Amino acid sequence: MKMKKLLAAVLSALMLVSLLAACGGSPSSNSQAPSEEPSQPTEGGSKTYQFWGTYEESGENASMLNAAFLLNLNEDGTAVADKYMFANFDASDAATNPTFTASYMSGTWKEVEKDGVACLQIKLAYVDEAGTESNSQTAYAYDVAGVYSFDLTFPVVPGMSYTRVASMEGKEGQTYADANAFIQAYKQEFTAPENVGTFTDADNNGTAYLQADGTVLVYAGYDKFADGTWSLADGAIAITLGGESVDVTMDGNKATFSTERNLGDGNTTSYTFVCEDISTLSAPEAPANGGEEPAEEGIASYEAGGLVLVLLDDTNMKVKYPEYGMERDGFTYVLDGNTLTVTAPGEDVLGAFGQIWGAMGGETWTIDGNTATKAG
Amino acid sequence: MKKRNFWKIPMAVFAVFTAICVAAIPITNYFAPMINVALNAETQRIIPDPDAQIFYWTRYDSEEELVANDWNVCRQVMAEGASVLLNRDNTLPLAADTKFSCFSQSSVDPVKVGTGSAFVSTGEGASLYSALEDSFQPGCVNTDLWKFYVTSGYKRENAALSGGDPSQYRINEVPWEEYTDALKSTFADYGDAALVTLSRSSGEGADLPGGLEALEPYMTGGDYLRLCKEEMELLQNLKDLKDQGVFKKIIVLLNSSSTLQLDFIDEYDIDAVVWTGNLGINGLPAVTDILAGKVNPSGRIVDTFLKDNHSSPAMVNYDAFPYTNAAQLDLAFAQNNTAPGIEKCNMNYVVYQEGIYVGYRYYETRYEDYVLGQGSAGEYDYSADVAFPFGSGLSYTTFEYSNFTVEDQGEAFQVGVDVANTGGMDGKHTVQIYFQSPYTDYDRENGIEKAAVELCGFDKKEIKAGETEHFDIRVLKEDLTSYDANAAKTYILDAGDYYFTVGSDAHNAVNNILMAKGADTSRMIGTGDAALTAKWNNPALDTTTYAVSSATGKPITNLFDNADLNKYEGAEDQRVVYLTRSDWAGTFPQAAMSLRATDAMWDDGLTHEDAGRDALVEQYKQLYWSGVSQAPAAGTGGSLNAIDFVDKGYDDPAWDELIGQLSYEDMLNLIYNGSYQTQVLPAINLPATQEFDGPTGFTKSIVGGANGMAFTSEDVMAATHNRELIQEVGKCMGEDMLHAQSGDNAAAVAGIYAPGVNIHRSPYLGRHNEYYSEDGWLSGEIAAAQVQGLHDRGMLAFVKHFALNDQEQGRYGISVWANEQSVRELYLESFEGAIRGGASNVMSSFNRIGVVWSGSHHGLMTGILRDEWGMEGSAITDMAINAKWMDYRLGVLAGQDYWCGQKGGMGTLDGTGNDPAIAAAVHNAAKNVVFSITRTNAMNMGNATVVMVTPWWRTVLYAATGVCALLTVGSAFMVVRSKKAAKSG
Repeated sequence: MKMKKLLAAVLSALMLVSLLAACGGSPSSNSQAPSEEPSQPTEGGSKTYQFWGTYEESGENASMLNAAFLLNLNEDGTAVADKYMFANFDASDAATNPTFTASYMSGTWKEVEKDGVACLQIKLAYVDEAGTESNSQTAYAYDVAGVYSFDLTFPVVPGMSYTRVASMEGKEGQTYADANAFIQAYKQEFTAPENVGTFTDADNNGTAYLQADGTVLVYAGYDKFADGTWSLADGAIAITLGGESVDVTMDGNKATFSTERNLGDGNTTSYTFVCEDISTLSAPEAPANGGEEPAEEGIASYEAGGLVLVLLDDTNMKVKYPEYGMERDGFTYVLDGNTLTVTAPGEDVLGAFGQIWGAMGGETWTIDGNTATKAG
Repeated sequence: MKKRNFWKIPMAVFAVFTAICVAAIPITNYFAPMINVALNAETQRIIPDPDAQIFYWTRYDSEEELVANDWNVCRQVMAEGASVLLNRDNTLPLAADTKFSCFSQSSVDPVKVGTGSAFVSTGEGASLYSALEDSFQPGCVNTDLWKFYVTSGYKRENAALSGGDPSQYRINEVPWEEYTDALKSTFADYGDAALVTLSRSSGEGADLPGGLEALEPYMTGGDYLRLCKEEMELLQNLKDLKDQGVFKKIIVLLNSSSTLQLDFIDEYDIDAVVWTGNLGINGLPAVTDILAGKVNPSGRIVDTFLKDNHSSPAMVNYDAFPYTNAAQLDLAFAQNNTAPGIEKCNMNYVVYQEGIYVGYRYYETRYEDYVLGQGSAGEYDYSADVAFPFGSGLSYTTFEYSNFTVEDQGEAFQVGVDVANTGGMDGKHTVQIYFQSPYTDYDRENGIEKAAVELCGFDKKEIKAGETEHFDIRVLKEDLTSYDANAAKTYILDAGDYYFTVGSDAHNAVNNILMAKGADTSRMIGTGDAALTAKWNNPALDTTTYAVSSATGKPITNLFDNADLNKYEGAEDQRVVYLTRSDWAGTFPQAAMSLRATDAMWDDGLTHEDAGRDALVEQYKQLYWSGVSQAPAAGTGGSLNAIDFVDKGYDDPAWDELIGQLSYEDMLNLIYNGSYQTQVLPAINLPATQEFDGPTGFTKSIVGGANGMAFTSEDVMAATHNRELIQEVGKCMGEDMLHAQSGDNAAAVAGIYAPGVNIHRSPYLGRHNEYYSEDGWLSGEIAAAQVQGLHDRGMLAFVKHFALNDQEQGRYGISVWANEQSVRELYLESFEGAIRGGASNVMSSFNRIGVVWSGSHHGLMTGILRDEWGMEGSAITDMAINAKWMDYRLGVLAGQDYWCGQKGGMGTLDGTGNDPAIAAAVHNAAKNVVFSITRTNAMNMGNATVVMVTPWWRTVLYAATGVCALLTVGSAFMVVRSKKAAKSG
C-alpha cells in the first residue's frame, strides 16, 4: 500500500520537482549525537499527543507542494505523521484518498527534560518499504500554556535533498478523532472562476473559463496554466492565449480550439477544448485588455511608451510601469492644450523607479487621445 | 424498473486509470533521472569482478566511528576558526565557576547551517546550554531564562528556498517588555556573564535585505545585518544591569556567516566578542571551550567586519538591475526556475564598478592613500568604516615576530619569520604574509589597479608558551603579478619596489609597510613595525614571463573583453567609470549604473529567440571548432573498458577510442541527464554514479541512510587557516559518501557539488555561508585543501559556481559586467587556486558573463579553465530546468560537459551526430565526464560487467498500464455482453 502511495506521490510530485531551486534544497537528516542525549528521559507512559500543521506556498504548481500533516504521538512511543495534500481538493475517505498518505513519516517520541526544561522529543524519518530511513530529524516541542510546537522538516520527494518546513502545533490527547476528521478539517474546495461559459476537455480534465470582461482562463484540473482574451462577433468566437491568436474551428455552433500545456519544456500535454453551443454566449461586456475602458483611477491616464501617466487630480499624477508592476506617486503636471509638462519628485521618492523614469520618462509630452508621446 | 448495467462503472474506472498511466509514461520518462534518485531505483546490474581492486577503501571499522570522527572534526574546525575579536581587560577566558545568563532567542536556536544546498538537519547537535555545562560545570546556566526563550514563541524566519526574496527574512527577537520582573530577578544569581547570541541566517535563493523600506517595522532601516530595535533594547538593558552590578561582563557571540554591522560594540559596554559563523552540528562545544579557555582561540576572520556595511564601493551596485529598455525588448526574469520568465532570464544586469576594490582591498588601500596624502583619498576615516580588519583574531597568549626575511629564489620567494609565544598559554598561531605591489605610472596610464596589501601566504603552528617557532612560507612570484587588460593584455610584473610583511591582520600589514615608507604616524590608525617588512625591487616591467601559463605552457591573453563595458563592441555609449586609487573621491560609485540593452548585447547572448541562438551556434562553430571537418566515430563497439583507463592520462589518444565505443545517443544521454548523477554506460562498463549537494557537508545520508553531517560554514573553515584540517573535512565528507552506498547494484556516490568559492562581494550575499571569504587567493588555498581531501576518498568535487555568481538576486541569467583585472585577480582566483591545488571539476553558474551564459562562455569554460589552468575533468551546470539560455549546443561548443537536469528545455543536441563541430564537442564532453568518473570510487567495482536495467517503478508503471488497459477492454466486453443479455432477456 505504501509503495502505491509512494508511486502516486512521486507521480504527483513530478511537476513540483521542477519548482525546486538549483543545487538542491534542504536535505535530509542529521547525524546522531555520539554523546548528546537529553537528560533524564521519562517514558511517555499512557499519554498521547496530537500535532497538526501545514505547509503552503503560492504559485502555479503550489497545489502539488502544499500539505497538511497530522502527527500522532502514540502511547507505545511511536510517532506517526500522515500527509494530506489538501490543495488537490479531494476530501474522500482517507483509506482510498490518493492525496492522503498515512505514515508519510514515522519514528519515536518521549517526554524528556532537555536543558532543564521539560519537553517532547520527537524523532521522525521517512521509512521506505525496505525499512531504510532518510530525511531523519530530531525536534523538541515545548509546552506553552498547554500548546506545543515545533518545525517539521519534510521531504518533498522522499529520500531527496528537497525539504520544506511545516509549523506544527499540538496538544495532549486527541483533537482529530481520525484521519477523516483531519481531512474534513483541512479540506479545501475548488472555486471555479466566475464565468459566462466554458470550453471543456473532458479527457484531460481541462476547462477554459470565459469571463464577462473578455478574459479567458485555462485550467488543467485545478491549476491555471494559461490566460488570454475572447470575443464574439458575427456568431464567431475569437480567442487569444498568451497574446497570440488561437485557431478556433466551428462545426455549426460547436467551437473547438487546441492548446498545449508546457510541462517543463520539451514535454507538453495537448488539450482540445470544446464548447458545444457558442450561440448561448453573450459577447463580453468590455474588452479584457482595457484599451477602451475608462481609467480606473484619477481623472485621466495616457499610454506613454511602456509607461502609463495617471493624472490623479488637477496637479498631481503618478507614473506606472506595468511591465514590472511598479509605480510611483509624487509627480506633478501642467496640461496646456495637448502639451503635458511633468515634474518628477526627488531621488528619495523615486528610489529605484528613478532608473526607469530616467530611461523612459521625460519632462514634456504631447497628448493625442489616450497616448502621450515624449516631446523632443 | 430498468436494470442497471454495473459493468459500466468498472469500465469507466479502469479507463480513467489507463488514461492516467498512459499520460504518466512520457512525464515520468522526462523526470526519470530524478525519480531514480528519489526512489533509489536501480538502473544497472553489476556482475561483480571477484578480483576487483578497491581503489578507495573506508578508513573506519564502523559507521559510528565515522560519525564520531565527523563530529570531532567539526568541533576542531570551530575550535580553530572561531575568532575572538574583542577581549577587553582579558574578559576571556572565563573562570570555571562562571554563571551564565544566555540572552536572545537565538541562544536557544542558533544558526548551525545555511538553507538551500547547505542545509543539513542539526537537531541532534549540542545546545548552548549543554555545551556551557560541559565546558564549565553543571548548573552554570540560568534555566529560567532558557525556558523563557524556548517557550517565547519568537523565532527567526528565513526567505523561502523557492522563489524567496529578501523581504521574507525576519529577526524576531523577543522584546524587552516580555521579560517579567520574576525573570529579571533570576539574573543576579547568573550574573557573571550575560552571554548574548546575535544570529543571522542566510541561504540559497535570496540575498539578505540591506535596506528594504517595507522591512523597517522589523529591522533597523530594513537592514537585516544591523541590530534590530529589540536587540538594541536588550543590549541597552544589559548595559544598565551591568552598571547596576547585576552583570559583571557582557559577551557577544556573532553567530552569523554574514558579517553583522558592528557599529554597536562601544555603545553597550561589551566586554568580549567572538565570531562563530554558522556552527555546524558540533561547533558549539568548541565555542564554549574557547570561553572557558580549554581551547586557546586561533581563528582569524576572513572578511572585513564593518561599522557601516554600506561603506563598501560595491554596495550601490549590489542588486539585480533591469536594463532600462527591458520592456521594449520583452526581456524577463525569474527568481525561481518555474516562475514566468525563466525561459528568458535576460532582464537584469549588475556592474562590478568597484573593480578589484572589494573588502580589505578597498579599505586598506584607501587608508594607505589617506595616510600618504595621495589619490584624492580625502579625509578618509578608516575607523568610521572598519570595526575589525581582515585577518583579525585574538589569542589568550601573546606572540611576537622577529627575524623577518625574504629570499628571492627565482620563481618564488622564501619568506621566513620567527614567532615567539611570549604569554603563558600554549596556542596555535597563524602567520599571515602580505605583499604590496608598486602602483606605477604604467598602471595609472593603463587602468591597472593595485591593492595596498594582498594576502599571499600563511601557515599555522602550535607554539608552546615560552617557545619560538620558525615559519618558512613560499610565495610564488606569479602570485605577485597583476593583470593588464589594456596594454600588455596579459599578466605583468611591474617595475619597482615590492614590500613583503608579516601582519597580525591586513591593517597591521599596511601599517608595517607605511612605517617602512616613513609615513606620517599622526595620520595612521594603529601601529606598524618597519622591521617586519622586506623590500624587493623588480628593475624592469616584465610583460612576457607571466604571459604564458605555468600550468599548460599556453599563452595568456584577454578572455573577458566581452564582460567589460569599456571594451565591449556594441555599447560604446555606455562606459563604466571604474573605481581607481588614482582618484578615490572622483570615481567612488555614487549610484547604480544605468544600462540599456543594445542590439549587440541581444545578438551576443541576451536573445531569447531560437533563431538568435541558432545564429550563435553557427558563430561558435566557426570561432572554436572550424578545424573539425569530420564527426568523430561513435558507436563503434569494441572491448575497451573504463576500468582500464583509471591510470590513463588525459591526453592519451586511447580515450577517443573508448568514447567512440559509445553510441551518440549514449553520449547525449550522459550530457542531458546529469541531475545529481551520471548515466550508466554498458558499452564501456562504466557504472552510473550519484552526486549530491554539500558545501557544508554531505547532504544525503550516512549511517543506515538516515543521517547527514553538517560542518561549519565555509568562512569558519577558511578562518582556521589550517590546510590539513580542512583537508580532513574533505576526507570526512568523502567518507560520509563512501558509506552512503546502498546495495550492490546501486549507483556509486562519487561526487559532491562543493566547495563553493564565490566571493563575499557584499555581506548581504545570500550564500555567504557557502563561500569562504572576500579574498580570492585565500579561498583558493582552502578550497584546494578541501578538494584534496575529497579526492583522497575517491570523490569528485564540483567547485561552484563558476563564475561571478556573487549574489542570489537575479542569479538566473543576470548579466555580470566586470573588468578583466577584477575577474581574474579576485573572482576567478578562488577557482584558480582550487584547480591549481588539484580540483578537476566545476559547476558552472546560472548567470551571464557580460551577456554570455557562463557555461557557454568559451573564454571561461575552455580558455581559462582548461587552456590556462589545465583542468582535466568535467564541468556540470547548475540546476537546469526550463533555462533556455543554458543552451546545450552553445554549452558543449564552449566547453560545458553536462547538465544538472533532465533532457529538454535547453534546446537540443538530438540529430547533431553528423555535424562535425557539435559531434566533436559532444565527444569531448562525454570524454570529460567519463574521465572524471574513472578517477572515483565508482571504479572500485573493477572489471565488472555493467548491464542497464529498467528501474522497478517503470516496470510497475508499464504493468499497471497493461493491466488497466486489459481490464478496461474486459469491462467493455462485459458491458456489451450485458446489454445483449438484457436485450435477449
